[in-house]
Amino acid sequence: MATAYKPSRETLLMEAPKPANENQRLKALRELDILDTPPEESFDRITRLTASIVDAPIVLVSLVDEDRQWFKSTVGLDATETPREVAFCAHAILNTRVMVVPDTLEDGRFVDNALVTGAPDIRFYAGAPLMLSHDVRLGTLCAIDTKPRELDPDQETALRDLAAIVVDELRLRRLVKTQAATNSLLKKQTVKLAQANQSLQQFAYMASHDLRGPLKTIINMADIVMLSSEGADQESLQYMRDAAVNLEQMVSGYYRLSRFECTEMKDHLVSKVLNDAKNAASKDIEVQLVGDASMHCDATLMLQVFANLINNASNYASENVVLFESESTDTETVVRVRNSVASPVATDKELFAPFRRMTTEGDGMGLGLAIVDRVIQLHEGAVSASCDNGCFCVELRIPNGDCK
Amino acid sequence: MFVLPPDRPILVVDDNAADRHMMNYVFRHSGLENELMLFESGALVFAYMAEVAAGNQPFPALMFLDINMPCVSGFDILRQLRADPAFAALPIIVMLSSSDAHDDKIQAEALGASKYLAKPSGLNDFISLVEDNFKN
Repeated sequence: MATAYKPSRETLLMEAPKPANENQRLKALRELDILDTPPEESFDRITRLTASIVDAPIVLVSLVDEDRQWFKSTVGLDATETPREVAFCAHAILNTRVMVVPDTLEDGRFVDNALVTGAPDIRFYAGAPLMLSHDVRLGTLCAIDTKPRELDPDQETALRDLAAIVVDELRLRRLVKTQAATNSLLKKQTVKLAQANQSLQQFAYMASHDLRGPLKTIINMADIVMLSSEGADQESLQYMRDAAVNLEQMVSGYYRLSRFECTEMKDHLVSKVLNDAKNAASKDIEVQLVGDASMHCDATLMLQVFANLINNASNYASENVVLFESESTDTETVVRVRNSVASPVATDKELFAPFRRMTTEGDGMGLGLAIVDRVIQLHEGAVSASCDNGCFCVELRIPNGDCK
Repeated sequence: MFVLPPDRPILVVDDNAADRHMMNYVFRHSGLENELMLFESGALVFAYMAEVAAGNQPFPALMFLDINMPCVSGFDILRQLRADPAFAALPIIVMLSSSDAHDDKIQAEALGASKYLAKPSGLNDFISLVEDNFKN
Protein backbone atom coordinates (compact mmCIF):
# COMPACT_ATOMS: atom_id res chain seq x y z
CA MET A 1 0.00 0.00 0.00
CA ALA A 2 1.37 3.34 -1.02
CA THR A 3 1.73 6.00 1.62
CA ALA A 4 1.51 9.77 1.53
CA TYR A 5 4.41 11.91 2.63
CA LYS A 6 3.51 13.97 5.67
CA PRO A 7 5.98 16.81 6.21
CA SER A 8 5.97 18.70 9.51
CA ARG A 9 4.37 22.16 9.58
CA GLU A 10 7.60 24.14 9.95
CA THR A 11 8.88 22.97 6.57
CA LEU A 12 5.94 24.52 4.72
CA LEU A 13 7.74 27.67 3.80
CA MET A 14 7.46 28.34 0.12
CA GLU A 15 3.99 27.33 -0.88
CA ALA A 16 3.01 27.96 -4.48
CA PRO A 17 0.26 30.55 -5.01
CA LYS A 18 -3.03 29.29 -6.53
CA PRO A 19 -3.52 29.96 -10.25
CA ALA A 20 -5.88 32.87 -10.99
CA ASN A 21 -8.43 30.50 -12.54
CA GLU A 22 -8.16 27.89 -9.78
CA ASN A 23 -11.90 27.21 -9.58
CA GLN A 24 -12.19 26.67 -13.32
CA ARG A 25 -9.08 24.49 -13.24
CA LEU A 26 -10.42 22.30 -10.43
CA LYS A 27 -13.78 21.99 -12.18
CA ALA A 28 -12.07 20.77 -15.36
CA LEU A 29 -10.01 18.31 -13.35
CA ARG A 30 -13.08 16.89 -11.58
CA GLU A 31 -14.92 16.54 -14.86
CA LEU A 32 -12.23 14.19 -16.11
CA ASP A 33 -13.33 11.81 -13.39
CA ILE A 34 -9.83 10.48 -13.02
CA LEU A 35 -8.78 11.29 -9.42
CA ASP A 36 -8.37 8.18 -7.24
CA THR A 37 -8.83 5.79 -10.16
CA PRO A 38 -6.58 2.70 -10.46
CA PRO A 39 -3.39 2.78 -12.55
CA GLU A 40 -3.90 2.40 -16.31
CA GLU A 41 -1.43 1.01 -18.77
CA SER A 42 -2.00 3.85 -21.25
CA PHE A 43 -0.52 6.31 -18.71
CA ASP A 44 2.07 3.93 -17.29
CA ARG A 45 3.68 3.39 -20.68
CA ILE A 46 4.10 7.17 -21.06
CA THR A 47 5.84 7.49 -17.68
CA ARG A 48 8.12 4.53 -18.51
CA LEU A 49 8.97 6.07 -21.88
CA THR A 50 9.60 9.44 -20.22
CA ALA A 51 11.91 7.85 -17.64
CA SER A 52 13.87 6.29 -20.44
CA ILE A 53 14.10 9.40 -22.62
CA VAL A 54 14.86 11.86 -19.82
CA ASP A 55 16.98 9.28 -18.02
CA ALA A 56 15.43 9.94 -14.60
CA PRO A 57 14.76 7.46 -11.77
CA ILE A 58 11.38 8.99 -10.89
CA VAL A 59 8.65 10.07 -13.31
CA LEU A 60 5.10 11.07 -12.34
CA VAL A 61 1.83 12.00 -13.97
CA SER A 62 0.77 14.39 -11.24
CA LEU A 63 -2.62 16.05 -11.04
CA VAL A 64 -2.91 19.05 -8.74
CA ASP A 65 -6.11 18.76 -6.70
CA GLU A 66 -7.45 21.32 -4.23
CA ASP A 67 -5.27 20.21 -1.29
CA ARG A 68 -3.01 17.56 -2.76
CA GLN A 69 -1.23 16.35 -5.82
CA TRP A 70 -2.40 12.92 -6.89
CA PHE A 71 -0.42 10.59 -9.13
CA LYS A 72 -2.18 8.80 -11.95
CA SER A 73 1.05 7.03 -12.88
CA THR A 74 4.41 6.69 -11.21
CA VAL A 75 7.84 5.30 -11.99
CA GLY A 76 10.29 4.93 -9.10
CA LEU A 77 7.93 6.16 -6.37
CA ASP A 78 5.44 4.30 -4.21
CA ALA A 79 3.40 7.30 -3.07
CA THR A 80 -0.01 7.97 -4.66
CA GLU A 81 -0.27 11.55 -3.43
CA THR A 82 1.42 14.31 -1.39
CA PRO A 83 0.02 17.47 0.19
CA ARG A 84 -0.25 20.35 -2.26
CA GLU A 85 1.91 22.56 0.06
CA VAL A 86 5.04 20.56 -0.77
CA ALA A 87 4.17 19.87 -4.41
CA PHE A 88 6.75 21.03 -6.99
CA CYS A 89 3.99 20.56 -9.56
CA ALA A 90 1.88 23.24 -7.84
CA HIS A 91 4.64 25.64 -8.94
CA ALA A 92 4.98 24.11 -12.40
CA ILE A 93 1.32 24.63 -13.29
CA LEU A 94 1.66 28.37 -12.81
CA ASN A 95 3.43 28.52 -16.17
CA THR A 96 3.06 27.13 -19.67
CA ARG A 97 6.79 26.40 -19.93
CA VAL A 98 8.63 23.35 -18.66
CA MET A 99 9.79 24.14 -15.13
CA VAL A 100 13.34 22.94 -14.48
CA VAL A 101 15.02 22.98 -11.05
CA PRO A 102 18.59 21.77 -11.67
CA ASP A 103 19.46 21.68 -7.95
CA THR A 104 16.85 22.04 -5.25
CA LEU A 105 19.45 23.04 -2.68
CA GLU A 106 20.23 26.09 -4.82
CA ASP A 107 16.57 27.13 -5.11
CA GLY A 108 15.01 29.16 -2.30
CA ARG A 109 11.54 27.77 -3.08
CA PHE A 110 12.53 24.20 -2.38
CA VAL A 111 15.63 24.14 -0.21
CA ASP A 112 13.59 23.47 2.92
CA ASN A 113 10.93 21.36 1.20
CA ALA A 114 10.18 18.12 3.06
CA LEU A 115 10.54 16.16 -0.16
CA VAL A 116 14.05 17.61 -0.48
CA THR A 117 15.20 17.34 3.11
CA GLY A 118 13.71 13.89 3.46
CA ALA A 119 12.55 11.03 1.22
CA PRO A 120 12.45 10.91 -1.73
CA ASP A 121 15.39 13.38 -1.51
CA ILE A 122 14.61 15.43 -4.60
CA ARG A 123 17.61 17.30 -6.02
CA PHE A 124 16.46 17.70 -9.63
CA TYR A 125 13.00 18.42 -10.96
CA ALA A 126 11.66 18.98 -14.49
CA GLY A 127 7.89 19.29 -14.98
CA ALA A 128 5.91 19.94 -18.19
CA PRO A 129 2.40 21.25 -17.47
CA LEU A 130 -0.56 19.14 -18.58
CA MET A 131 -2.42 21.78 -20.54
CA LEU A 132 -6.06 20.98 -21.22
CA SER A 133 -6.13 24.46 -22.71
CA HIS A 134 -3.64 27.35 -22.57
CA ASP A 135 -5.01 28.48 -19.20
CA VAL A 136 -6.21 25.22 -17.73
CA ARG A 137 -3.18 23.30 -16.46
CA LEU A 138 -4.17 20.21 -14.55
CA GLY A 139 -0.80 19.03 -13.29
CA THR A 140 2.47 17.90 -14.79
CA LEU A 141 4.37 15.12 -16.37
CA CYS A 142 7.53 15.44 -14.30
CA ALA A 143 10.94 13.82 -14.05
CA ILE A 144 12.78 13.76 -10.71
CA ASP A 145 16.33 12.82 -9.77
CA THR A 146 18.15 12.45 -6.48
CA LYS A 147 21.23 14.22 -7.81
CA PRO A 148 21.57 17.66 -9.38
CA ARG A 149 21.65 17.69 -13.18
CA GLU A 150 20.49 19.47 -16.37
CA LEU A 151 17.81 18.77 -18.95
CA ASP A 152 19.09 18.97 -22.50
CA PRO A 153 16.89 20.71 -25.12
CA ASP A 154 15.88 17.44 -26.82
CA GLN A 155 14.80 16.01 -23.50
CA GLU A 156 12.84 19.14 -22.72
CA THR A 157 11.05 18.96 -26.08
CA ALA A 158 10.34 15.26 -25.50
CA LEU A 159 8.99 15.98 -22.02
CA ARG A 160 6.66 18.65 -23.43
CA ASP A 161 5.48 16.34 -26.23
CA LEU A 162 4.92 13.48 -23.84
CA ALA A 163 2.92 15.80 -21.55
CA ALA A 164 0.73 16.63 -24.56
CA ILE A 165 0.25 12.89 -25.13
CA VAL A 166 -0.84 12.51 -21.49
CA VAL A 167 -3.44 15.24 -22.07
CA ASP A 168 -4.63 13.48 -25.24
CA GLU A 169 -4.90 10.30 -23.24
CA LEU A 170 -6.97 12.09 -20.56
CA ARG A 171 -9.31 13.46 -23.23
CA LEU A 172 -9.62 10.08 -24.93
CA ARG A 173 -10.33 8.41 -21.62
CA ARG A 174 -13.13 10.86 -20.88
CA LEU A 175 -14.55 10.41 -24.39
CA VAL A 176 -14.60 6.63 -24.05
CA LYS A 177 -16.26 6.90 -20.65
CA THR A 178 -18.86 9.35 -21.92
CA GLN A 179 -19.57 7.13 -24.89
CA ALA A 180 -19.89 4.05 -22.69
CA ALA A 181 -22.30 5.94 -20.45
CA THR A 182 -24.27 7.12 -23.49
CA ASN A 183 -24.40 3.58 -24.88
CA SER A 184 -25.56 2.17 -21.60
CA LEU A 185 -28.18 4.90 -21.31
CA LEU A 186 -29.27 4.22 -24.88
CA LYS A 187 -29.55 0.52 -24.14
CA LYS A 188 -31.64 1.21 -21.04
CA GLN A 189 -33.86 3.61 -22.97
CA THR A 190 -34.32 1.08 -25.76
CA VAL A 191 -35.39 -1.56 -23.28
CA LYS A 192 -37.74 0.92 -21.59
CA LEU A 193 -39.18 1.95 -24.93
CA ALA A 194 -39.76 -1.66 -25.95
CA GLN A 195 -41.51 -2.29 -22.65
CA ALA A 196 -43.63 0.83 -23.03
CA ASN A 197 -44.52 -0.18 -26.56
CA GLN A 198 -45.45 -3.66 -25.44
CA SER A 199 -47.64 -2.46 -22.60
CA LEU A 200 -49.29 0.05 -24.94
CA GLN A 201 -50.03 -2.74 -27.38
CA GLN A 202 -51.30 -4.87 -24.54
CA PHE A 203 -53.51 -1.98 -23.48
CA ALA A 204 -54.90 -1.54 -27.00
CA TYR A 205 -55.59 -5.25 -27.09
CA MET A 206 -57.30 -5.35 -23.70
CA ALA A 207 -59.19 -2.10 -24.17
CA SER A 208 -60.56 -3.12 -27.55
CA HIS A 209 -61.38 -6.59 -26.26
CA ASP A 210 -63.14 -5.33 -23.15
CA LEU A 211 -65.06 -2.59 -24.93
CA ARG A 212 -66.72 -4.99 -27.33
CA GLY A 213 -68.84 -6.78 -24.71
CA PRO A 214 -70.75 -3.73 -23.45
CA LEU A 215 -71.15 -2.44 -27.01
CA LYS A 216 -72.70 -5.71 -28.13
CA THR A 217 -75.06 -5.49 -25.18
CA ILE A 218 -76.13 -1.98 -26.25
CA ILE A 219 -76.79 -3.21 -29.78
CA ASN A 220 -78.70 -6.29 -28.63
CA MET A 221 -80.84 -4.33 -26.19
CA ALA A 222 -81.62 -1.75 -28.89
CA ASP A 223 -82.69 -4.65 -31.11
CA ILE A 224 -84.93 -6.04 -28.40
CA VAL A 225 -86.55 -2.66 -27.75
CA MET A 226 -87.06 -2.10 -31.48
CA LEU A 227 -88.60 -5.54 -31.95
CA SER A 228 -90.81 -5.53 -28.90
CA SER A 229 -91.97 -1.94 -28.39
CA GLU A 230 -94.17 -0.72 -31.19
CA GLY A 231 -94.69 2.66 -29.57
CA ALA A 232 -90.96 3.34 -29.28
CA ASP A 233 -89.31 6.09 -31.32
CA GLN A 234 -87.89 3.68 -33.90
CA GLU A 235 -85.87 6.31 -35.75
CA SER A 236 -84.00 7.47 -32.63
CA LEU A 237 -83.37 3.88 -31.64
CA GLN A 238 -82.05 3.13 -35.12
CA TYR A 239 -79.57 6.05 -34.91
CA MET A 240 -78.47 4.86 -31.48
CA ARG A 241 -78.07 1.33 -32.71
CA ASP A 242 -76.18 2.39 -35.87
CA ALA A 243 -73.77 4.44 -33.76
CA ALA A 244 -73.18 1.49 -31.45
CA VAL A 245 -72.63 -0.84 -34.42
CA ASN A 246 -70.21 1.65 -35.94
CA LEU A 247 -68.31 1.93 -32.65
CA GLU A 248 -68.24 -1.82 -32.22
CA GLN A 249 -66.78 -2.25 -35.70
CA MET A 250 -64.08 0.31 -35.01
CA VAL A 251 -63.18 -1.31 -31.71
CA SER A 252 -63.09 -4.71 -33.42
CA GLY A 253 -60.84 -3.17 -36.05
CA TYR A 254 -58.39 -1.88 -33.46
CA TYR A 255 -58.56 -5.26 -31.77
CA ARG A 256 -57.55 -6.95 -35.02
CA LEU A 257 -54.80 -4.42 -35.71
CA SER A 258 -53.38 -4.80 -32.20
CA ARG A 259 -53.18 -8.55 -32.54
CA PHE A 260 -50.95 -8.64 -35.63
CA GLU A 261 -47.41 -9.87 -35.08
CA CYS A 262 -44.71 -11.49 -37.19
CA THR A 263 -44.16 -15.01 -35.98
CA GLU A 264 -42.70 -17.02 -38.83
CA MET A 265 -40.37 -15.13 -41.13
CA LYS A 266 -39.37 -17.05 -44.24
CA ASP A 267 -38.74 -16.49 -47.93
CA HIS A 268 -41.94 -16.91 -49.94
CA LEU A 269 -42.67 -16.48 -53.65
CA VAL A 270 -45.12 -13.69 -54.37
CA SER A 271 -47.11 -16.09 -56.63
CA LYS A 272 -47.65 -18.56 -53.78
CA VAL A 273 -48.88 -15.96 -51.29
CA LEU A 274 -50.97 -14.28 -53.99
CA ASN A 275 -52.70 -17.56 -54.86
CA ASP A 276 -53.68 -18.10 -51.23
CA ALA A 277 -54.77 -14.48 -51.00
CA LYS A 278 -57.05 -14.86 -54.03
CA ASN A 279 -58.84 -17.67 -52.23
CA ALA A 280 -59.05 -15.66 -49.02
CA ALA A 281 -60.28 -12.48 -50.71
CA SER A 282 -64.02 -12.01 -50.55
CA LYS A 283 -64.20 -10.42 -53.99
CA ASP A 284 -64.23 -11.79 -57.52
CA ILE A 285 -61.75 -9.87 -59.63
CA GLU A 286 -59.15 -10.92 -62.18
CA VAL A 287 -55.69 -10.96 -60.56
CA GLN A 288 -52.59 -10.76 -62.76
CA LEU A 289 -48.97 -11.14 -61.71
CA VAL A 290 -45.87 -9.85 -63.53
CA GLY A 291 -42.51 -10.99 -62.12
CA ASP A 292 -42.40 -13.57 -59.35
CA ALA A 293 -39.95 -12.34 -56.71
CA SER A 294 -39.23 -13.89 -53.36
CA MET A 295 -40.13 -11.91 -50.23
CA HIS A 296 -38.90 -12.35 -46.68
CA CYS A 297 -42.13 -12.25 -44.72
CA ASP A 298 -44.67 -13.86 -42.45
CA ALA A 299 -46.87 -15.54 -45.06
CA THR A 300 -50.04 -15.44 -42.94
CA LEU A 301 -49.75 -11.69 -42.55
CA MET A 302 -48.66 -11.01 -46.12
CA LEU A 303 -51.63 -13.02 -47.34
CA GLN A 304 -53.87 -10.53 -45.54
CA VAL A 305 -52.04 -7.64 -47.19
CA PHE A 306 -52.63 -9.10 -50.65
CA ALA A 307 -56.23 -10.12 -49.90
CA ASN A 308 -57.01 -6.61 -48.66
CA LEU A 309 -55.43 -5.06 -51.74
CA ILE A 310 -57.48 -7.39 -53.97
CA ASN A 311 -60.68 -6.51 -52.10
CA ASN A 312 -59.77 -2.85 -52.21
CA ALA A 313 -59.20 -2.98 -55.97
CA SER A 314 -62.47 -4.82 -56.42
CA ASN A 315 -64.30 -2.09 -54.49
CA TYR A 316 -62.77 0.85 -56.29
CA ALA A 317 -61.40 -0.31 -59.65
CA SER A 318 -63.14 0.97 -62.76
CA GLU A 319 -62.15 -2.22 -64.62
CA ASN A 320 -62.43 -5.62 -63.00
CA VAL A 321 -58.72 -6.43 -62.95
CA VAL A 322 -55.86 -5.88 -60.52
CA LEU A 323 -52.20 -6.16 -61.55
CA PHE A 324 -49.43 -7.27 -59.17
CA GLU A 325 -45.80 -6.62 -60.15
CA SER A 326 -42.85 -7.83 -58.09
CA GLU A 327 -39.08 -7.51 -58.25
CA SER A 328 -36.17 -8.08 -55.89
CA THR A 329 -33.04 -6.07 -55.22
CA ASP A 330 -30.13 -6.91 -52.92
CA THR A 331 -31.86 -5.30 -50.00
CA GLU A 332 -35.59 -5.55 -50.56
CA THR A 333 -38.53 -6.86 -52.53
CA VAL A 334 -40.81 -4.33 -54.17
CA VAL A 335 -44.43 -5.24 -54.92
CA ARG A 336 -46.64 -2.81 -56.85
CA VAL A 337 -50.36 -3.32 -57.03
CA ARG A 338 -52.21 -1.38 -59.72
CA ASN A 339 -55.81 -0.92 -60.67
CA SER A 340 -57.72 1.60 -62.73
CA VAL A 341 -59.87 4.19 -61.00
CA ALA A 342 -62.63 6.32 -62.47
CA SER A 343 -61.71 9.43 -60.50
CA PRO A 344 -58.44 10.50 -58.82
CA VAL A 345 -57.76 9.28 -55.29
CA ALA A 346 -55.94 11.38 -52.67
CA THR A 347 -52.83 9.39 -51.82
CA ASP A 348 -51.59 11.08 -48.65
CA LYS A 349 -50.66 9.31 -45.44
CA GLU A 350 -54.29 9.50 -44.28
CA LEU A 351 -55.19 6.95 -46.93
CA PHE A 352 -53.67 4.28 -44.67
CA ALA A 353 -55.31 5.44 -41.44
CA PRO A 354 -57.90 3.08 -39.97
CA PHE A 355 -61.56 3.70 -40.84
CA ARG A 356 -60.83 5.99 -43.77
CA ARG A 357 -62.96 5.11 -46.74
CA MET A 358 -61.82 6.04 -50.26
CA THR A 359 -65.41 6.62 -51.30
CA THR A 360 -68.76 6.28 -49.67
CA GLU A 361 -69.63 3.55 -52.14
CA GLY A 362 -68.70 -0.10 -51.76
CA ASP A 363 -68.67 -2.06 -48.56
CA GLY A 364 -66.03 -2.66 -45.92
CA MET A 365 -65.26 -0.48 -42.97
CA GLY A 366 -62.09 1.19 -44.19
CA LEU A 367 -59.67 -1.11 -42.43
CA GLY A 368 -58.10 -2.71 -45.52
CA LEU A 369 -55.26 -0.27 -46.15
CA ALA A 370 -54.71 0.18 -42.40
CA ILE A 371 -54.04 -3.56 -42.19
CA VAL A 372 -51.69 -3.29 -45.18
CA ASP A 373 -49.84 -0.43 -43.49
CA ARG A 374 -49.64 -2.18 -40.11
CA VAL A 375 -48.35 -5.46 -41.54
CA ILE A 376 -45.72 -3.78 -43.73
CA GLN A 377 -44.63 -1.73 -40.68
CA LEU A 378 -44.21 -4.96 -38.73
CA HIS A 379 -41.92 -6.13 -41.54
CA GLU A 380 -39.98 -2.85 -41.16
CA GLY A 381 -40.91 -2.08 -44.73
CA ALA A 382 -42.57 0.90 -46.36
CA VAL A 383 -45.87 1.39 -48.09
CA SER A 384 -46.93 4.24 -50.33
CA ALA A 385 -49.65 5.01 -52.83
CA SER A 386 -49.84 7.04 -56.00
CA CYS A 387 -52.54 7.91 -58.50
CA ASP A 388 -51.69 8.94 -62.06
CA ASN A 389 -53.83 9.05 -65.20
CA GLY A 390 -56.59 6.91 -63.78
CA CYS A 391 -54.18 4.32 -62.38
CA PHE A 392 -54.08 3.78 -58.63
CA CYS A 393 -50.91 2.09 -57.38
CA VAL A 394 -49.89 0.83 -53.95
CA GLU A 395 -46.18 0.13 -53.57
CA LEU A 396 -44.86 -2.23 -50.88
CA ARG A 397 -41.18 -2.35 -49.98
CA ILE A 398 -40.29 -5.41 -47.93
CA PRO A 399 -36.70 -5.59 -46.69
CA ASN A 400 -34.68 -8.79 -46.83
CA GLY A 401 -33.82 -9.64 -43.25
CA ASP A 402 -35.44 -10.10 -39.94
CA CYS A 403 -38.76 -8.72 -38.88
CA LYS A 404 -38.29 -7.03 -35.53
CA MET B 1 -80.69 -30.66 -33.69
CA PHE B 2 -81.73 -31.17 -30.09
CA VAL B 3 -85.32 -32.30 -29.56
CA LEU B 4 -86.40 -30.92 -26.20
CA PRO B 5 -89.26 -32.35 -24.15
CA PRO B 6 -91.49 -29.28 -23.63
CA ASP B 7 -92.37 -30.10 -20.02
CA ARG B 8 -88.84 -29.77 -18.72
CA PRO B 9 -86.99 -26.49 -18.06
CA ILE B 10 -84.05 -25.03 -19.97
CA LEU B 11 -81.34 -23.71 -17.64
CA VAL B 12 -79.14 -20.75 -18.50
CA VAL B 13 -76.05 -19.98 -16.39
CA ASP B 14 -74.51 -16.60 -17.19
CA ASP B 15 -73.16 -13.92 -14.87
CA ASN B 16 -73.98 -11.15 -17.35
CA ALA B 17 -77.51 -9.86 -16.65
CA ALA B 18 -77.93 -8.37 -20.12
CA ASP B 19 -76.98 -11.68 -21.73
CA ARG B 20 -79.50 -13.51 -19.52
CA HIS B 21 -82.12 -10.95 -20.51
CA MET B 22 -81.36 -11.52 -24.20
CA MET B 23 -81.49 -15.31 -23.81
CA ASN B 24 -84.85 -14.90 -22.12
CA TYR B 25 -86.12 -12.72 -24.97
CA VAL B 26 -84.86 -15.11 -27.64
CA PHE B 27 -86.38 -18.19 -26.00
CA ARG B 28 -89.71 -16.48 -25.32
CA HIS B 29 -89.91 -15.70 -29.05
CA SER B 30 -88.50 -18.98 -30.30
CA GLY B 31 -91.67 -21.02 -30.22
CA LEU B 32 -90.11 -23.41 -27.69
CA GLU B 33 -92.55 -24.21 -24.93
CA ASN B 34 -89.99 -24.93 -22.24
CA GLU B 35 -89.77 -22.90 -19.08
CA LEU B 36 -86.52 -20.94 -19.02
CA MET B 37 -84.62 -20.73 -15.72
CA LEU B 38 -81.87 -18.15 -15.37
CA PHE B 39 -78.92 -18.51 -12.96
CA GLU B 40 -76.23 -15.91 -12.39
CA SER B 41 -73.66 -18.11 -10.70
CA GLY B 42 -72.35 -21.63 -10.32
CA ALA B 43 -73.38 -21.69 -6.66
CA LEU B 44 -77.04 -21.02 -7.53
CA VAL B 45 -77.19 -23.67 -10.26
CA PHE B 46 -75.46 -26.23 -8.01
CA ALA B 47 -78.12 -25.61 -5.36
CA TYR B 48 -80.83 -26.13 -7.97
CA MET B 49 -79.20 -29.32 -9.31
CA ALA B 50 -79.06 -30.73 -5.79
CA GLU B 51 -82.84 -30.33 -5.66
CA VAL B 52 -83.08 -32.05 -9.06
CA ALA B 53 -80.98 -34.97 -7.77
CA ALA B 54 -83.23 -35.19 -4.70
CA GLY B 55 -86.27 -35.43 -6.97
CA ASN B 56 -87.72 -32.09 -5.80
CA GLN B 57 -87.30 -30.37 -9.17
CA PRO B 58 -87.85 -31.64 -12.74
CA PHE B 59 -84.83 -32.90 -14.68
CA PRO B 60 -83.75 -30.15 -17.11
CA ALA B 61 -84.11 -30.53 -20.87
CA LEU B 62 -80.95 -28.55 -21.52
CA MET B 63 -78.34 -26.38 -19.85
CA PHE B 64 -76.49 -23.41 -21.36
CA LEU B 65 -73.15 -22.56 -19.74
CA ASP B 66 -71.21 -19.34 -20.08
CA ILE B 67 -67.48 -20.01 -19.67
CA ASN B 68 -66.10 -16.82 -18.21
CA MET B 69 -67.66 -16.31 -14.83
CA PRO B 70 -66.07 -15.25 -11.53
CA CYS B 71 -65.42 -17.83 -8.78
CA VAL B 72 -66.99 -20.82 -10.54
CA SER B 73 -66.41 -20.93 -14.30
CA GLY B 74 -68.57 -22.71 -16.85
CA PHE B 75 -65.88 -25.38 -17.08
CA ASP B 76 -65.99 -25.88 -13.30
CA ILE B 77 -69.76 -26.45 -13.49
CA LEU B 78 -69.39 -28.82 -16.44
CA ARG B 79 -66.66 -30.79 -14.66
CA GLN B 80 -68.68 -31.16 -11.46
CA LEU B 81 -71.96 -32.12 -13.17
CA ARG B 82 -70.29 -34.72 -15.41
CA ALA B 83 -68.67 -36.26 -12.31
CA ASP B 84 -72.19 -37.09 -11.07
CA PRO B 85 -73.65 -40.16 -12.88
CA ALA B 86 -77.13 -38.67 -12.39
CA PHE B 87 -76.26 -35.89 -14.87
CA ALA B 88 -74.21 -37.88 -17.39
CA ALA B 89 -77.03 -37.69 -19.95
CA LEU B 90 -77.98 -34.04 -19.40
CA PRO B 91 -77.42 -32.07 -22.64
CA ILE B 92 -75.01 -29.27 -21.76
CA ILE B 93 -74.18 -26.57 -24.29
CA VAL B 94 -71.01 -24.56 -23.71
CA MET B 95 -71.20 -21.02 -25.02
CA LEU B 96 -67.81 -19.89 -26.32
CA SER B 97 -66.94 -16.23 -25.97
CA SER B 98 -65.70 -16.12 -29.57
CA SER B 99 -65.64 -18.44 -32.56
CA ASP B 100 -61.84 -18.76 -32.62
CA ALA B 101 -61.39 -19.76 -28.97
CA HIS B 102 -59.49 -22.89 -29.93
CA ASP B 103 -58.35 -23.90 -26.43
CA ASP B 104 -61.87 -23.46 -25.08
CA LYS B 105 -63.27 -25.81 -27.73
CA ILE B 106 -60.74 -28.48 -26.81
CA GLN B 107 -61.48 -28.12 -23.11
CA ALA B 108 -65.26 -28.13 -23.66
CA GLU B 109 -64.95 -31.42 -25.56
CA ALA B 110 -62.58 -32.96 -23.01
CA LEU B 111 -64.95 -32.14 -20.15
CA GLY B 112 -67.92 -33.73 -21.89
CA ALA B 113 -69.89 -30.85 -23.33
CA SER B 114 -72.73 -32.03 -25.59
CA LYS B 115 -71.97 -29.18 -27.96
CA TYR B 116 -70.16 -25.86 -28.03
CA LEU B 117 -71.48 -22.78 -29.76
CA ALA B 118 -69.89 -19.40 -30.29
CA LYS B 119 -71.85 -16.66 -28.57
CA PRO B 120 -73.77 -14.97 -31.40
CA SER B 121 -72.71 -11.38 -31.99
CA GLY B 122 -76.24 -10.11 -32.52
CA LEU B 123 -79.84 -10.74 -31.63
CA ASN B 124 -80.81 -12.08 -35.05
CA ASP B 125 -77.87 -14.49 -35.07
CA PHE B 126 -78.99 -15.70 -31.67
CA ILE B 127 -82.53 -16.27 -32.85
CA SER B 128 -81.23 -18.25 -35.84
CA LEU B 129 -78.94 -20.27 -33.61
CA VAL B 130 -81.81 -21.33 -31.38
CA GLU B 131 -84.07 -22.08 -34.36
CA ASP B 132 -81.33 -24.12 -36.05
CA ASN B 133 -80.38 -26.22 -33.05
CA PHE B 134 -83.43 -26.76 -30.88
CA LYS B 135 -87.06 -27.82 -31.25
CA ASN B 136 -89.74 -29.44 -29.16
